[in-house]
Amino acid sequence: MKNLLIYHFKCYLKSYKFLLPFLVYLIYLFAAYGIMPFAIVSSFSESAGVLFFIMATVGFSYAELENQVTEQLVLLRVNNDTRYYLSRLLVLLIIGLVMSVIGILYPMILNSVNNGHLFTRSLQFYDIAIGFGLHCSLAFLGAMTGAFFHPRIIKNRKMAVLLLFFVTVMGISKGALAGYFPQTCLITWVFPPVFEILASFTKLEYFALPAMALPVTLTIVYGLALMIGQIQLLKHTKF
Amino acid sequence: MDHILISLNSISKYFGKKLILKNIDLTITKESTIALLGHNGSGKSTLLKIIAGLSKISAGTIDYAPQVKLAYIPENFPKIDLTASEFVKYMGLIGGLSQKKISTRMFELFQAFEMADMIDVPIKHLSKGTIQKVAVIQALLDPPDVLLLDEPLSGQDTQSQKLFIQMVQELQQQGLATIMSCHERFLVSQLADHAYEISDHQLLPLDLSDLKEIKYDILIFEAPPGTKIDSSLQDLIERAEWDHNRLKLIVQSDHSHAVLKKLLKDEFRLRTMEGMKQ
Repeated sequence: MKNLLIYHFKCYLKSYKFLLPFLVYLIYLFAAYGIMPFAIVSSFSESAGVLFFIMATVGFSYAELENQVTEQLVLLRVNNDTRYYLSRLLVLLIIGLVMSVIGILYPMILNSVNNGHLFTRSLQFYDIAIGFGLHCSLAFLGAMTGAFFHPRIIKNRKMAVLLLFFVTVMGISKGALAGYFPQTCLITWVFPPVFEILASFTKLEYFALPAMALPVTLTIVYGLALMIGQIQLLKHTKF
Repeated sequence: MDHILISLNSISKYFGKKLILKNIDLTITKESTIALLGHNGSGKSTLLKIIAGLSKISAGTIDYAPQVKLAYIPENFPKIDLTASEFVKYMGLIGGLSQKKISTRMFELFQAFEMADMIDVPIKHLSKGTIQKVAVIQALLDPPDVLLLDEPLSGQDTQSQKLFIQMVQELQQQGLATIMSCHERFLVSQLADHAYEISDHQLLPLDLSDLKEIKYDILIFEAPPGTKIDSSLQDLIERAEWDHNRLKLIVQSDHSHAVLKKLLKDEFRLRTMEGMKQ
């Protein structure tokens, strides 16, 4: 597994496809934390929401990067399809983890540089831990959503891009839609639970674990369902 | 029959509603060398992928001997960002080889294929023939039980072709089974002891002695700028290799006259013509 992970990382890093989403997230962080002070909960929530979209893009471009011929050669070496596909998704999770660290570390450093005046109140360890968990959850969800639109699952690439855009936007806007048309809830539950997790912090001054337990569980279950679904579909469709 | 490595039992393959292969039976034993012939799109590559377990079958069953090790040489190796040495090294590591064994074997193979000075160049910057050598090297890194070759010699220079044929013959003596898809009938007699043609979705055995009796000519032309080979000649030519305006053709001797006549009419200039040594 270690060699598989290193191989996938090497292929991804050498493609330079990580540069654009990485820079976009950095630019967002610079811009978002430009004018002080901020409420901790809302700024961390917003940053995690943006990370969801960034990781959806990363997941999609990462899936597109996979070449069918090299995939076949590696599959023959590994002799275990599940391990191969799992290793690819694990790489995405590691990228999500690194991005989450950046998403939390940047405001922490900025807060320290500004003598603790970046936020409207003092930053606690509790905020950092939950904020990091929130970033990781949404990075995982975004990565799995983007990677699900794999070229072998949806062969029409234009359709895949449009669908990914639609699914990610619906994930965050389904709550507003339900406000106007409550009956849409019957359908919109199929979209990633981004709205549910972000709504659990709305207007809160402090992170409340009980309030976010259900949405976070939902996020992890949804991400795992996409992950298992993708692996099974790729194993089933073959070449 | 403990020598049986892979057995295909009445397999059929559809792509959507399109039938590709129908009721194919094939047994691959140790040391067997099987050539698959057929026109483009006949299903040769698909059959190789099915044997490798990379393509789903629509009907039938495939039985593999326990722990059978397969290697595959694709027809078109992609232009990837990794260097040749990186790719081959990771293939070895992923396959469970030790770093030391990989380094030794890699060095031998890169030397043998005369690409030792190109191992640190990204594969995407290598020529088609050199990229194909990388595909061959990764397959030979750890000798498999069954080697699957999809048009193995396409794009390779004559020296590499000879080396490859020699290496495969050596591996065959060690018990390796090879199954190759091949356009060129003249290669079959050098590499295979059984030949099949995929025709009308089915696998038809060919008499190798007939193939061995076929004589071939090599014709080298100088082509006028921007000229292409007339499409009417495609079925008569076994292989065409372009090097700028130099065109090398391998043609069955029976067809040489017709090909020559047409190309001369199209203002190609004949530089050499000789019978091919098998």
